[in-house]
Amino acid sequence: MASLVWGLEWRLALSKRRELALRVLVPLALVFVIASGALPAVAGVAVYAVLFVVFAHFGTALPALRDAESGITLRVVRGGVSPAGYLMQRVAACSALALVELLPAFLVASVFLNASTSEILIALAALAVGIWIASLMGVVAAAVSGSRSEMVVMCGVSLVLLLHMSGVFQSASASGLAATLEGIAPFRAVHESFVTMVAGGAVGGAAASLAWALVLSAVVWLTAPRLTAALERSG
Amino acid sequence: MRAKSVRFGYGVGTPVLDGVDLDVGVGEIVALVGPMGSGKSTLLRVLIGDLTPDTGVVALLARHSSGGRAMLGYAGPAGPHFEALSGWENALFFARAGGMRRREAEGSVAELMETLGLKDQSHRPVAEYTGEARHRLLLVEALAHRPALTVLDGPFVGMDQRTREALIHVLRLRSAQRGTVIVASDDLVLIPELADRLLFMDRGRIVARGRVAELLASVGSATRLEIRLERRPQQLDVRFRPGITVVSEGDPYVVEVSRGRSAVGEVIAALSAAGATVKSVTVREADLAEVFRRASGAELE
Repeated sequence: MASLVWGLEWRLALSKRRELALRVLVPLALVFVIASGALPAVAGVAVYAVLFVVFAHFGTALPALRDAESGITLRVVRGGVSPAGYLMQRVAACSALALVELLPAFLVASVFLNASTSEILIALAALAVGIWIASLMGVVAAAVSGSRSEMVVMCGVSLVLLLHMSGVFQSASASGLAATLEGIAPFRAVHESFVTMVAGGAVGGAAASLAWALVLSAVVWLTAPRLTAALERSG
Repeated sequence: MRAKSVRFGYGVGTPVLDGVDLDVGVGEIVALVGPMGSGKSTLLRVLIGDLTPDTGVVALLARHSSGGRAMLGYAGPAGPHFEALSGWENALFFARAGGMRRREAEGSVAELMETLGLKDQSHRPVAEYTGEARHRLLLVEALAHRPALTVLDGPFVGMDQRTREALIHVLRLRSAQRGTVIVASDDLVLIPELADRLLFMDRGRIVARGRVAELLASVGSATRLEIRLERRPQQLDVRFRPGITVVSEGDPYVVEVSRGRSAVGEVIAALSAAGATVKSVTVREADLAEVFRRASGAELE
């Protein structure tokens, strides 16, 4: 039963082939248009970071809320799956799916940025951690939201804030409080791994991203009974 | 499983459950019987832990641990499925969520799908299922992992006779293997075939309880005739033969007859001879519907 929900999420995703194709093609098309256009590369990588994080976040949050509203979450947990197991397997499956779906877009972006293999591998690792964080936030957002519109507003505002904290919308190096916040922001590594493809240098924020991933995982694990209870109530 | 003084309401106003006591032993099949709105479904949802009672205690293996939840099989009148997956995949998922190994779960699901008439459509997506097929799938999902406690709400609704009998057979078999079953239904034809004990519910209370034979004995073997009189003399002095007993001289005028419906003509003739004009006669057989009517003062239908 250890991978029951994980397997379920994959089967569900693979059974909806049209949706799966769209989830690959839409980010791919967006990245291709930006990468092949006249937008400066530094601005382009900011768009990629936003796109990938938002995609992963809503890719977990919206299905979680949909399943809560349909009542299937209640049935699964009532059926004997532990709340922590349900949420963590779900986040893992959604993160892995998002990574697979975003991979073509990511590779197109990397090719247009003339990235080296090592830069691509580092960026891919940063992206995987970023997607994991965004997915964890997605499942929490679905649980604490009262409705779909409330969730969209809550997610939109919090993600923009966190992306801003991560330095995505800043052209110059941050200083003072902004620098401190950037140092502990969750998505700085995702953004900087793309910036490195353009301007070289080291990727900052990796430790902060890992810390966010670990702490958020622990929070979701420990509060899973409450989170699933909230998702059951939504149904 | 035990529930004591359970009260529950969905908000301000009359409670849906009003002081319900319930005691169900291991391996027992108990049926909650009552009209729509009597509180049967709500009581089941309180018992399985979906709803928290306002007051009272529910002692159950229940849902506060995954292991406890896996020992429970619940099917309501309707429920969501993974629409994109087949009925087989859905049932297999829930059987495995209930703690079964894959091979064991496959065997159990295959057997139940055949028994409940879903075998032919087991590999079609649930999105293509009719309402009745979805209901049967819910039953398969509730039963496949062989739970210690099976709770079914309206299991016979929309089911053909053959499948009903098959389901009764499955539930009796579970009971024989020390599985406890609680069923809510208003089907007074099938429930006596299935249940060891009946609990009649009305307006959030249990108004009568007992084994079928005990409940029937409580209303006696006599048929009751409720007679509405169009005209009655001031002094209604009726002489009935032995076997006909007057229960009430009010309105309706009620007599008990030991010879069943065949005594109706004789009763009307005796009333007419006493100067009364009969408007209508309602025959109340000594059956479970009568048990409910006498306990609650309301009709079951």
